[in-house]
Amino acid sequence: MTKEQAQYDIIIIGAGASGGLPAAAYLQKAGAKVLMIDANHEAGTHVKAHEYFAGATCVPCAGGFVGSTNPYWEDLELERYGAELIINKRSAGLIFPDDTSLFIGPADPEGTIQSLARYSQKDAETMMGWLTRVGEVFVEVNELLYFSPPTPERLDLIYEKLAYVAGIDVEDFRQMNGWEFLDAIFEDHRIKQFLMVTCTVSWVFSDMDARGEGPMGMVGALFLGLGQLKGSNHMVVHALLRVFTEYGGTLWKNTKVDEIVVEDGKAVGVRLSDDAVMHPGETIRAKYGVISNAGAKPTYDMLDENVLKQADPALAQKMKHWDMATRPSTVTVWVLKEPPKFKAAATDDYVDQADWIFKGMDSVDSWKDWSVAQRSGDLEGAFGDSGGWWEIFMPALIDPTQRSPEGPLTLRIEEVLPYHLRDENGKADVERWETEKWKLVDRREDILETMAPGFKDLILDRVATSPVDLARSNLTAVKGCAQGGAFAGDQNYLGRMPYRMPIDNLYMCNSVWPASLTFAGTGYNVASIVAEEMGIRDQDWWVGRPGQWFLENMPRLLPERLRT
Amino acid sequence: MMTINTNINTDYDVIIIGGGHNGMLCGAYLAKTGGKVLVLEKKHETGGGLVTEDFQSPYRFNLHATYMMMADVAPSHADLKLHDHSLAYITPDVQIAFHHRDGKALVFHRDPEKSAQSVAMFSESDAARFRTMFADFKEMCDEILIPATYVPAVPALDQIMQFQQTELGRKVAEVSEMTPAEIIDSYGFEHPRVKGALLYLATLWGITPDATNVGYLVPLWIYRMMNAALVRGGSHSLSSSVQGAFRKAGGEVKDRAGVEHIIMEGGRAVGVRTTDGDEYRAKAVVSTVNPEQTFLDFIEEEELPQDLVAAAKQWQWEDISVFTSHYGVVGPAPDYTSAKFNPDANHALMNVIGIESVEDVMEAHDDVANGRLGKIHGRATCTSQFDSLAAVGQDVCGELNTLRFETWAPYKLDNEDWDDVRKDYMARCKAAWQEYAPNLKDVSYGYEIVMTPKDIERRLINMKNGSFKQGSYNMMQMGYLRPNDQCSRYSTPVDGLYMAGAAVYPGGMILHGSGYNAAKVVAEDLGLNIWWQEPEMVTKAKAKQYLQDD
Repeated sequence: MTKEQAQYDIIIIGAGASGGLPAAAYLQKAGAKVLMIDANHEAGTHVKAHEYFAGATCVPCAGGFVGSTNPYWEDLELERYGAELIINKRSAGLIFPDDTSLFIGPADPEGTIQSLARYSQKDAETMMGWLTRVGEVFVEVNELLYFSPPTPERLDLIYEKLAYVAGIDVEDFRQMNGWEFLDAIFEDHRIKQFLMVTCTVSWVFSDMDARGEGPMGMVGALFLGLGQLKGSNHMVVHALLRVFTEYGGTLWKNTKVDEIVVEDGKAVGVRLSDDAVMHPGETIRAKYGVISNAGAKPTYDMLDENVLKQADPALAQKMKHWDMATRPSTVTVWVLKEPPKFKAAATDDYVDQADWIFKGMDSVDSWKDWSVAQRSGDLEGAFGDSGGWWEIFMPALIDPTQRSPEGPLTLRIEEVLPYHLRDENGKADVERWETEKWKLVDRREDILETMAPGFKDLILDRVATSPVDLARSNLTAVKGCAQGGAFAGDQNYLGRMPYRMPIDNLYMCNSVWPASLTFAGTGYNVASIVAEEMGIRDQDWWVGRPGQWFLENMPRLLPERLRT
Repeated sequence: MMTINTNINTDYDVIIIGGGHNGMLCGAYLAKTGGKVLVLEKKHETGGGLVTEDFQSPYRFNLHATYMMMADVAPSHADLKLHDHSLAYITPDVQIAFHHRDGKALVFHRDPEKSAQSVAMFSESDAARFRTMFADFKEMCDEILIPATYVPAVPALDQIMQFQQTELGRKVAEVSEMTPAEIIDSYGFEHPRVKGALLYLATLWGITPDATNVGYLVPLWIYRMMNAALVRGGSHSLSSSVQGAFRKAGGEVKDRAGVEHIIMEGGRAVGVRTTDGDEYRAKAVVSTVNPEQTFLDFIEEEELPQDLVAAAKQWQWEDISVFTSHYGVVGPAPDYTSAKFNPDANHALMNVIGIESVEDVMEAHDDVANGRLGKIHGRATCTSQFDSLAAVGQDVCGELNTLRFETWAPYKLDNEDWDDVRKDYMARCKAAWQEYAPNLKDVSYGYEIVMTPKDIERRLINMKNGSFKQGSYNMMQMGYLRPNDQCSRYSTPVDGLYMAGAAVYPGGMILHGSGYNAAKVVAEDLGLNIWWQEPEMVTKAKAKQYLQDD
């Protein structure tokens, strides 16, 4: 067999917004010749905006944007390429079944303390202490925690910094699980629920039951910069693509990779599917290697099993059985005539202006029940009487350009429910989702009607996605998990997939640390590693520190009406 | 008034208003000349009517354009190397099936002989007539009508004189003067189902059976709809490929950049101001939106010649819009009852129901003209039957299919509002389809998306009144008169201002025509390097005196 000349330096499998795409933009700008290949019809599958009603857009998957701290804002000049960040002063709030509410906003300390003090003066003061210290070590922790590959040394430093923020001894911090940590520090269940949201379900996905990791997830989540992109979060995909193509990068879409080609222990290219739009069935070669954004199990499936087993039998085993079961998403998007009026706005008018709120539960114990039911496939238990926790987005409330000129806007709810639905005999079923999906939407509407009377009259349209739909929509979202896999057991921090695979010239940027979210730590990290190895890391523009640009520009990025 | 961040950017050669199919195409040709080109798009995505949404589902819904009639003939594919930018087509061998209530089916193939055999199942003599008609239409299209799509229009009188010079030209001229009904009649078809089917196709994209002086559309539509293609991965992948070529050539796109007005200085168009207050200046501005927007919304009346304003005010929208409904299902592709009669009926790209006679076609047009939602008829397509990328993730659990049903629809309903009846009408369309493909009663409908004529107008604002070709196809608005005799050759009476888009010759329907033709005119005026060759078919047509030599 003749070996054709490699046209590309690097091939990236998957143009996702957290991994492949930012990595491609960095590497191409640094001078590498990059080919990025995506199986889907557009880049950034989980950050796609859809128009549900004329002019009313919504991103069903990555509803919130947490990429504000990524150095790409500075290094890649994303604003020059059309990305506009909007920061909500009161980043995230919670509403509860008893129609009370709270919010926590690092950019609005006075408001935050007032909001929390309604329930506990002591907790409010503790949280203020936390937020002050978050500000002190914001850049440093972002760098250690999210924008560097994991090492045991970094983990020690991370614990040290996070324990400092929490105001407790580092050994205590490492010895407590998430529940114990909350009970030791806070008294009010609402404030505890806010931290559980950040930890277990939304951003960092630590296991609340795990010692050290539960507290790490909760405190670590406070270091993310929350926001929205003007015109929808998908605009970050447009901006990154513009950087990538302006510097000469190549993107192939509708093109699935079947195999990562390994020769003499080295990744040398990829073989494309016979069904691919570009070069079906052909092998495409890369000089310096292959980066997979496909996640552990799909990457395993693209590799010759024996080659991987030879290189690292334990890792091969781990990839084959990679746990994707802890965060299956269900998403419902409604088109509403106008924003709903939540009863909870009576305690806090923030609720009526928030683009990003969560629905909590009636107690911490309900969260524990939800957690058990969710993992055991008990749909009824996980949904509960009044729905589990919900992430509620109304992007148009902070960005009027996402609202229809005629008035309608979208409201999106994401809820984590089991992928495999088990019946009373424990038999797992996924097909049941076809019917359950719509039943749950109806029940959510009943609950929303009690939370915001008149809700049902506002409905113009609705579209629902089950975890099975999500798994089908993107081959990396195995079992409906869009974040690269569970962060439990031996899959957290040091236990995640390595950026550098035991096969030479093969790299991973999904199922690695940190989570595959819009903060795009994975893409940044893999780009750094590969650039280092190619000898192109030293660039005068590649100097941004995580969170620095965000801190410096925050006042400018608040929408005008929130600036006062 | 407070002024906000006005950025003034002066250094473009060309600014194109509208990132739809023609805007992008024009941009790609011009960017490859080395000129600096900016496309301004109001929406968050470019592509115009080439829109594919998935709503984070496994299904790729072509919410607007889906049948590509010029995939195999438009010169842009080779010129811009679109197939290097993730574009691939599928052209099914079985193209159109008319499914009948009694379980029969009339099926048209790419291969006209196979079509004739299907016609023969109804009438042997009509099969012979079909062969004659198809051969005529093919010759007219291949030799004249398709080449004419890729050159600017000529004035009617010149056109007539040109056509008089050759026998084939005279034939085209003769057909052009006939109505669709007269053209089908002229071949003497006798079987009602054959006649009905051909008249339906002859009027498929929004002309009435009695429309005068647009007869040349009939051979085009019938011949090209028997060679229609789907874009793999969804129609939007076509516009993505053009955008890929545009970007590779250094072109720049600004999305969410709605135009407020065209900046005029000394009677000349010198740039564009966006609704965000940004100004962009260029040597040429190409508007690919409709004449009302271009001349009435973007420019002050005093700045324009009066007759141009008058022409823009007289612009007529279409009477016939479309209603589409889209379904993402778990379950098999449609299995038509008529497949027992003709197994090919299960493999057609487009499946027509409710049309079995000329009377059915007339009634359907009559309903639209009177704002009625009458008896259900329409065309159904299961895109996933042909394209594995139209419904992905089938290995997860269960077979999936992506279905669409499209029908003629009035923009304005008599006594009803589309917003109130959209779901009911979708249910009626679905039920009607299920009568012909009963297995669709048993599939699970996880996604249902509706697009009414009102939705078209709202989403694609240049398609006023749901007018998907951005203006009626009638004799006063076609050929050299599209959009009017001053602008149909892409330059306008306003220096520096050009037009392209579906409202300009040769019109809409993803012909790859007006953006392509306009690029040449703009490049000539700006002295940019015209790097592309005249298409061979055009050169031949000129040599045979079918087209005017320039």
